[in-house]
Amino acid sequence: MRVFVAATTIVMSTALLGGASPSGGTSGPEMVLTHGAYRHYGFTISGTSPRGLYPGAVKPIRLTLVNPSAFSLRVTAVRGRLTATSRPGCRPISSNLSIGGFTGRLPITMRPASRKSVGSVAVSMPNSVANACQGATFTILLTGDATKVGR
Amino acid sequence: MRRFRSLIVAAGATAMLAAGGGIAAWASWSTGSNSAAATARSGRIPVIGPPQVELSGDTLTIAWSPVQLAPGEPVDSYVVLRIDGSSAEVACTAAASAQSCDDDDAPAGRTVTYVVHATRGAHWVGENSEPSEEVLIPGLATVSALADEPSADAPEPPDATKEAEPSGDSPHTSPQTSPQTSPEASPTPSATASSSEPTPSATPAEPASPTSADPDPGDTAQN
Repeated sequence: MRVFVAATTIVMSTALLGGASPSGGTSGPEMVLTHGAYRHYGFTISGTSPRGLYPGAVKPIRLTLVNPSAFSLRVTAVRGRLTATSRPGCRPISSNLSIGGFTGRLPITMRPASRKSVGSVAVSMPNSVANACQGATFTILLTGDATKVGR
Repeated sequence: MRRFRSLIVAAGATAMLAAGGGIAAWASWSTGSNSAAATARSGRIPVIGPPQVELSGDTLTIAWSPVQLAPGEPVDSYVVLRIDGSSAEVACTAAASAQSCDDDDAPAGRTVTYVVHATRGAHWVGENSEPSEEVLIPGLATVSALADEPSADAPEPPDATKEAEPSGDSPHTSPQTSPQTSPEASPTPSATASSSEPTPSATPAEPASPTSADPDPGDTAQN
């Protein structure tokens, strides 16, 4: 079986920035898979966008993977990392927002041209969150690893 | 010589191909890490409506409508501020389950308003509400407030040592003394200082003495 390393990024809809609805939106960003022969294998992932976080709240980002390629993939890891916020006084640190590990079954086998809900990444806002984080938007980079399933 | 030149050209072409391959490899991985991110948005502590002030006997109660961060998710506490002119002080605080609290330290004779905000967690503080209706705090005004009313010379009410100065000749007078000074009926300085009921007779004993608080002014140094 040939092993591929997937670098995964997820784009969430920016439309959520203006609303205050507690329900989350979804979007379909692209995930690009590459390997040493410089070939590209893309698949997409979508997820909910939690809103209305407050001190003590824990909410999930529910993830859905889509594999549009002609071969199966095995996703072995999904991770989240807080990278930025929209307010200067609200630093992207764990005392303001904590990103939990992936919750779901791993590895995930994605058949060719398939779509699957794969679990979630939890975000929790601790009581230590700064006052400046009220109304802030947090940016969370998601990455993952995958392998190509041999025939 | 021609052979040597062709070798140089071949070497150059090989180097360019190798460099191009490296760029291609880098481009592949760069595309693979195509930057994108998920987002999560935090809420805000809701602003509370203007509080209601109710006076019942000597009890001044400030009430408000409770707010929630989410259905079933209350705030941690409420903080009521008393606005007196340009100053704001905490009048009282209440737990999330409360919808009112009493201001036990309201200054009598003052017209004040109240605002309220909610808190959550260690640092989250909501915005202040709109102010309540103005309310005149009932009861007798404090002695210091009485003392500075008749005296146009009284400079600053908080400075108790200067409030009861009838003139610049008596620098150390008690805040409890009446401005209606009567040097003829002069008790001892200690009696004046301990008097809690201001009366016309409770006046500074030695208006001209710069050390009226001294039990024995005769022993003080002379200027």
